[in-house]
Amino acid sequence: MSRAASLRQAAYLAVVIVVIGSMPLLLDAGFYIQIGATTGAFMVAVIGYNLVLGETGLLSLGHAAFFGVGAYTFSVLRTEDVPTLLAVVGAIGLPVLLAFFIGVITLRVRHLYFAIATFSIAEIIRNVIREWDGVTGGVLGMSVPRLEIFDRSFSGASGAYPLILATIVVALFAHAYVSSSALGRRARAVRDDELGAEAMGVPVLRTSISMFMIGAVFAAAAGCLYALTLTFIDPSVLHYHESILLIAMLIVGGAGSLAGAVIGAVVISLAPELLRFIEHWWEIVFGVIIMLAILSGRRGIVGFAGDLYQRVRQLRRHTTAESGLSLAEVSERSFTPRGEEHELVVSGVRKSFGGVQALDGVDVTFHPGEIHALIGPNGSGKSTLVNVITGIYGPDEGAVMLGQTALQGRRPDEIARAGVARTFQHTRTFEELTVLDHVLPMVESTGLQGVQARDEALSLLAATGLEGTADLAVGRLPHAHLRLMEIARALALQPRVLLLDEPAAGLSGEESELLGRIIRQLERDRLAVVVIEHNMPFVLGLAESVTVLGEGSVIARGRPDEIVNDPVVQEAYLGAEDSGAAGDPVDTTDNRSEQ
Amino acid sequence: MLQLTVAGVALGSIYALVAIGFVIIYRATGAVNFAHGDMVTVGAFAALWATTVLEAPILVSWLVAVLMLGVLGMLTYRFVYRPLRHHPFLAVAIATLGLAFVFRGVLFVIFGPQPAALPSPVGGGAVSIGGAVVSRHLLLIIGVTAVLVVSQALFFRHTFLGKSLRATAENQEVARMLGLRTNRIILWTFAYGAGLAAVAGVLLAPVRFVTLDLGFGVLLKAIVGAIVGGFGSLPGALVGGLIVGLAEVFGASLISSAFRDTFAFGILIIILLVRPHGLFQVKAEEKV
Repeated sequence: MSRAASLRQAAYLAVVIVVIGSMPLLLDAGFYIQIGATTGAFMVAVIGYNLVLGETGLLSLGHAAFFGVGAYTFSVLRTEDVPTLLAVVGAIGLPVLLAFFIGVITLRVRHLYFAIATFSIAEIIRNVIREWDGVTGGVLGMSVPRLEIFDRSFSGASGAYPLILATIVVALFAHAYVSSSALGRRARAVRDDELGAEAMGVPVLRTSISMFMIGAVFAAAAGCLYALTLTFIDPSVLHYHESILLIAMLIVGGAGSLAGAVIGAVVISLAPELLRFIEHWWEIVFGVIIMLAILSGRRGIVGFAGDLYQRVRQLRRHTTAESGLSLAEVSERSFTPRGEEHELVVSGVRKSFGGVQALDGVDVTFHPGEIHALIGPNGSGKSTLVNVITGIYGPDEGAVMLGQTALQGRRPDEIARAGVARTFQHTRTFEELTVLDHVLPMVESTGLQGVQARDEALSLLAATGLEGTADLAVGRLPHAHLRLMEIARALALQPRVLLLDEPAAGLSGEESELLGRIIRQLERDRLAVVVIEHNMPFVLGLAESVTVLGEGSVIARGRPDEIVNDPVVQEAYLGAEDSGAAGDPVDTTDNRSEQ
Repeated sequence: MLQLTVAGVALGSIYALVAIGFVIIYRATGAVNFAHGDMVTVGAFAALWATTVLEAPILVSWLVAVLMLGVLGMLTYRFVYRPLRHHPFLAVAIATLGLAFVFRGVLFVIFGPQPAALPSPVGGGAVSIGGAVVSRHLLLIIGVTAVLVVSQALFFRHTFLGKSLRATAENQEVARMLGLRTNRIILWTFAYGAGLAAVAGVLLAPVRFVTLDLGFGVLLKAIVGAIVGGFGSLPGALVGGLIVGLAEVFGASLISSAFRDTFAFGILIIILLVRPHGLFQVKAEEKV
């Protein structure tokens, strides 16, 4: 979503929440003020949690810790007569520091470790608060000092109520701002495909930690509001039940959507109050709703409503999605790389997996302004070599040098920013994002911003024949067009070296021709282009220089005509085809299905 | 000292059983099962149901619990994991959190919130070993775990089904190419993992009461154990589980019982700082 659209959505939600939210206050309905205030505090936390789970894909099982630490820090500082403003700064600052610490130690390994570590740290903190009687009141809890500004009390549900409404509005706009920023786009790229994002130059660790810290700000603010509302807190505010409640709210409402966070907070807070007659069944109902939200592949209530809306609209219009590929109108442009011209030299690279020697001392040099084909039978190590060059695997031995810069041992995103970009054999995309959203973060990583970045992204799309698809969700594009989009994304990084892993697979003749034209343009622009292909006619018609791999070693190199007539190459191919005739043999080094 | 060691190893054995079940399912499917802890709870309640409603002898009730959980494991695979097999890690993890809600809710509706006691087949007595008084049930826990771990190791190494399980865990595609029926193998893996959870549940129940919260806390400590040992490795899960159990028991009695849980979770933080891939360092290359 563009920034304007994002902010507009936040504004709509803010208006609705303020209108509905002020009713209990105007009607002076005590019961609803109480529920409304706690729901509101949770809503702020869930909006923040959406940035963590919904936008970055980080499952924190201890998010209530930030909520609780915020609440306690605020209460303790206020008890010590620290000025309110300073108390708020402390109550938000401490959880943010905590988030930074947790992020640094756990996000290197992500996923399960992150989930468990967040849970563990939340439990440790709860334990400390429970036992630190002198300051926190221990198990019995502590009362929260009253907050009065200009004789107006902001304590208790009705006192805190206006403050909560105001904070929700701020939270909505803050969410819209972060989510539509470059950071938000990078976060979504990480969420949908960590490895792909990394290969496209997105600093995964920094992005994840930043989003996690921002989520902690929201949770801490929510904690302060919660403390003010209840005027009394005990260690149960940090209990993992509260963290799971946040997850339930987000999933039921619709993860990844601001409206989803809001709706989820309301539904889950109100359901047990309004549906008292289902009594203990509510846990089962929540569980089933959470599972259905995942199993149905829809994003919660919001996703469900969205699908329904789309379906109704389609019924009315009878339009089918147009592919929008306009090969006739492909614009010519140059793709001048950044920085100085360098060769990419791979020397003596070895890599084994378990007992299998996937690469056994490979030497190869890729020159600027040259199209280099890397071919070989299945399992010969082509993909492994590309993965070693781009930092997805570290080599066991050997070096990868771009000019004077050693690339081995560096992270994929560092290598991408150093000027080596790639596309993947299996197209890696994020179904719900638009084509433009896929390309934009890559353009932004080169330092362009705002309108300039957008123009550059559109120009790249125009050059790859995808201009008409810029605003289509990627899930609606045919496979072949995704491959072209991958190339546009890689080129957005202005690379020196471009590695294309089977770019022509699945392309029609016309599309292959376009691909060939783009590759020749890259040659003129002095890029080193490496094409890994099975499609021999395509690659041999294009490349000036060919390297053939067989069982992890270079078995031949030379001009295409030399290679075609080389008996060693013929044997490697024929031999491989005989044994692997039963279909596409599984390349064990290239198997993603297990993840 | 001996008393504490036995208590620590017994608690660690429980964590290890849960961790092994969790890791086996993870290896077979590449997905985590956050409902695994609640399967421990379900196991304990199943045994409770068998002893009270069916008036079965305790050992029979254990068998009932293990069989019921085996079936529950298969159902979980069929109706939660299989439909989600092409989904990312996160989706499956969250779905199992939902499943945990369902398990817990169902138990609540059937059994209510009151804690109940499940007796041990060896009674509540103690034996004296070298002057130290050691509870018989704790020794039973250690014994059962040891037998299970050893027979499991033999099973994986020497039987066809065991080898198929390992091959499937190693690489599903290749296993399928070799003609293994990976679906069925994963189904059995689930049955086995859930069965282990039931064993942990019935072993733990006489030490604590049977409550709705019995399993979830145990699961998280078991996962801590698995990570400490090196996530994905079965020996790692065993050793890590024992370490966490010992740390918890010794920390609680020698340093402070109030910070009991902190010792277990603190180890995780230390491990993540010092040796992020665990003691048994199973640094799997990420596959592209």
